[in-house]
Amino acid sequence: MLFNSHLFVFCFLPITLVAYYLISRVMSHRFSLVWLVFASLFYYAWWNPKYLILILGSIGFNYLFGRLIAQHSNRFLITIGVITNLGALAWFKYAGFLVQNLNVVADTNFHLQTIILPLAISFFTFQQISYLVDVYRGTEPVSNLLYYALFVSFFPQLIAGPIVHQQEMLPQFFKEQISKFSQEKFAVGMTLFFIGLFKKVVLADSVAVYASPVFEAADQGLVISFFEAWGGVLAYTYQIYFDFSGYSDMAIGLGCMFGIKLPINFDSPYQATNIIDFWRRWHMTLSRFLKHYLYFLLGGNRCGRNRRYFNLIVTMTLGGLWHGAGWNFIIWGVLHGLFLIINVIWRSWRSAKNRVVGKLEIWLGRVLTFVSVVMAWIFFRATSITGASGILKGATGQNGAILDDRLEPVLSWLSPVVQFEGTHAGYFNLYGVPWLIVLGLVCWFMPNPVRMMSRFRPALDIGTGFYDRVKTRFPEWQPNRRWAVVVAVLAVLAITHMARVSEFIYYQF
Amino acid sequence: MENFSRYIKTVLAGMVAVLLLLGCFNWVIDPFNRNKKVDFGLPKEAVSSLMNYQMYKILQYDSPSIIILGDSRSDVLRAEYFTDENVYNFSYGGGTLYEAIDTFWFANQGNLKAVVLGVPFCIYTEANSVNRFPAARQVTRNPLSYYLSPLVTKSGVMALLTKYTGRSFKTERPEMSREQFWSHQLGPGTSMYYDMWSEPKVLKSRLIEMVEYCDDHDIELLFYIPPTHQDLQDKLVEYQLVDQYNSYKQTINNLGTVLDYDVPGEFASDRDNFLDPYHCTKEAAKDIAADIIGLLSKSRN
Repeated sequence: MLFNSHLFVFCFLPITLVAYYLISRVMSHRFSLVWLVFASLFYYAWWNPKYLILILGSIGFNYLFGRLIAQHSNRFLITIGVITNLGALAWFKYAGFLVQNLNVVADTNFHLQTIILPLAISFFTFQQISYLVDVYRGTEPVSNLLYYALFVSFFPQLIAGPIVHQQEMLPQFFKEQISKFSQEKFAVGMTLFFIGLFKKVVLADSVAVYASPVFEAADQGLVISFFEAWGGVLAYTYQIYFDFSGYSDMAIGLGCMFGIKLPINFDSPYQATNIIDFWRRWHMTLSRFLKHYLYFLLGGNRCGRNRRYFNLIVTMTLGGLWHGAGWNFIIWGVLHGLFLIINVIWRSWRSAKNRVVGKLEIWLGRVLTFVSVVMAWIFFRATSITGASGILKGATGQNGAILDDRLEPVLSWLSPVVQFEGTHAGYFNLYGVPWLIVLGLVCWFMPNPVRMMSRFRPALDIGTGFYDRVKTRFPEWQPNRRWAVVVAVLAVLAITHMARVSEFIYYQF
Repeated sequence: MENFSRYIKTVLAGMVAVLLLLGCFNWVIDPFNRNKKVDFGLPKEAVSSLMNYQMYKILQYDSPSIIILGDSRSDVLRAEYFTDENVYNFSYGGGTLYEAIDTFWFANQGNLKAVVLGVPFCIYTEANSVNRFPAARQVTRNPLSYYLSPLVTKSGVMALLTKYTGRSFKTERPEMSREQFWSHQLGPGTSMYYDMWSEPKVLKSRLIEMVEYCDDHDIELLFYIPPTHQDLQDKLVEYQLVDQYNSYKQTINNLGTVLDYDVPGEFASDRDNFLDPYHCTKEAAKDIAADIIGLLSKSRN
């Protein structure tokens, strides 16, 4: 049951929401939370009831271990807890990949039956590891199984994040007013949900059809020319952003509807002026996890320059591997690690020279960051190294540049370097170009929905100073008639486009 | 004090009103004949089959005992040619083997006795992995996705315009003589398939999966290789695909019973048997249908 399904929008959500507030009114706040846990587990089980045991087992294990660790503050216990969580993740997510590589390296012939990756396992595993580590570091463990179960299973964030911390969720659960219906929270939540739904089903899914043929052709070893490669890669760049940030907006919106604030997860990442800035804006809760529970654990930047670079590479490589068991994800992570190292070196060189950053430099940084991120997406999207290198070859002009011959009258001046060929030249459909322009403008110049609604603070800031940054000139969201019409139109467009075949990219992680 | 209440009401009321309007229109016009409740005598079949042939065929499917799958070369084997048999033609013009295989899994609702799968060489390729079936299935999956679909609304509007303004939405025939069209099909029409042809791997495994399923469930699977004109058969040499073609025939023969019409000879050399190098005439299709019935009844006996 995806957020962009009729079943979710017209059945699950209204029933869960009405029952939540009704139970709170008729019975008590506590019972409304019980209902929310039940609804969340039902939501999870809808995908495959068998795996309900897995998530329940994981919740039970980590709840008990958290209490044990708090009582004994034992290094051995925390190690066992983390290893058990990672072991489950490794079995479901990485066993096949490991066996496959072992067979290649050691020339063995081990065979492993296909293991179905349980939905959301990467997310709820990371969330609970962070919980155990926090408890080990001295945070109070959750004393109530109900609250703990809700912290892990709360359905808006269960499947694809944001990855939440107990310190930001638990205090909210205790407050009785969250289960008292608030028009403000509902209006804000509903608006964010519909904007997110629109981003996903209208924007991301529409541009996806221009990315897929290019990557599929490259994966089959077909030759991709310059414009096809860039068309396909840019289409994917926008697809993944609108897909995942749309999902996050929906999750935050749903949280608001239930009176619970979730942390912000995207802050217009393609407006980042450097790669460090990009990782402060893209999948912010994953970056936070990697930083606090991996990078700092490795020593962060406190153990000398070279060790810092090593830590960056390791952190980003494991971050890449978290996304999926495949060499393409590892390369993607390594690339981002290298980009971060270059950024760190550049920054220290610049501060040593005491140089002031000019406007031109900011813009150059923005373009360079964007291009680097786009190039790295090639590895993220391609299903094989052959596919990725095919696209890379195309994007660097090694396969020549071919354009649809309908463009020849306008672009004939490019003929020394461009070949004009056939009306169907290439795997990138020309109708994708307006999409790329419009989505590019949205990504580069528009504020994200959470920022537009920042007056109402719909999401939790996670220490990035999100709400303190300079406001944009774009009109802020207000609960007035004009915005109501805009949101209603977006909602209608989104709902009428929901019948398309589509899945959230991050569901597979 | 901001008026959140009015805002919520405006958003929800506006949204529900538009969706209701859209849903009612689609329910009444019902261009793909999903509910068949209201009949304005609209040319639904003509318009809907043009808008989304897969969707149209999915909605008309009524679990027969024999289905025909494939592309336009299978689509020409109309169900009415198979007298005394409960046959449904589930092929689509411009269809791919990926679509045909997905259609099989959908059509397999427990009543199937036989499947005729058209596998011409040009769609037995990994290069053409287009699959419009899941999208069509998605719209037909539940009433809400159908009645709130913009495609259904668009088809409804087109059906109304066709009836009340006389505007025709039929595909325009290309402004070419038969000779010119013949050359076009042999030229760019063939290059489109043969330049990109690539040995199928995923497709082959899916075919094998289907064959095994049919074997296990007593469903008779008959492969049909449609006739092509000699001019097109000769193109294999030009595109250096002769070995691949022979290997394709070998593979299909290994998979099961095959009715192979794509052979050189008198029939293939006579242009009167073909509309273009790829498509045989209605008369030839009727003969092929008779052969298929003969083969199916023979194997049943």
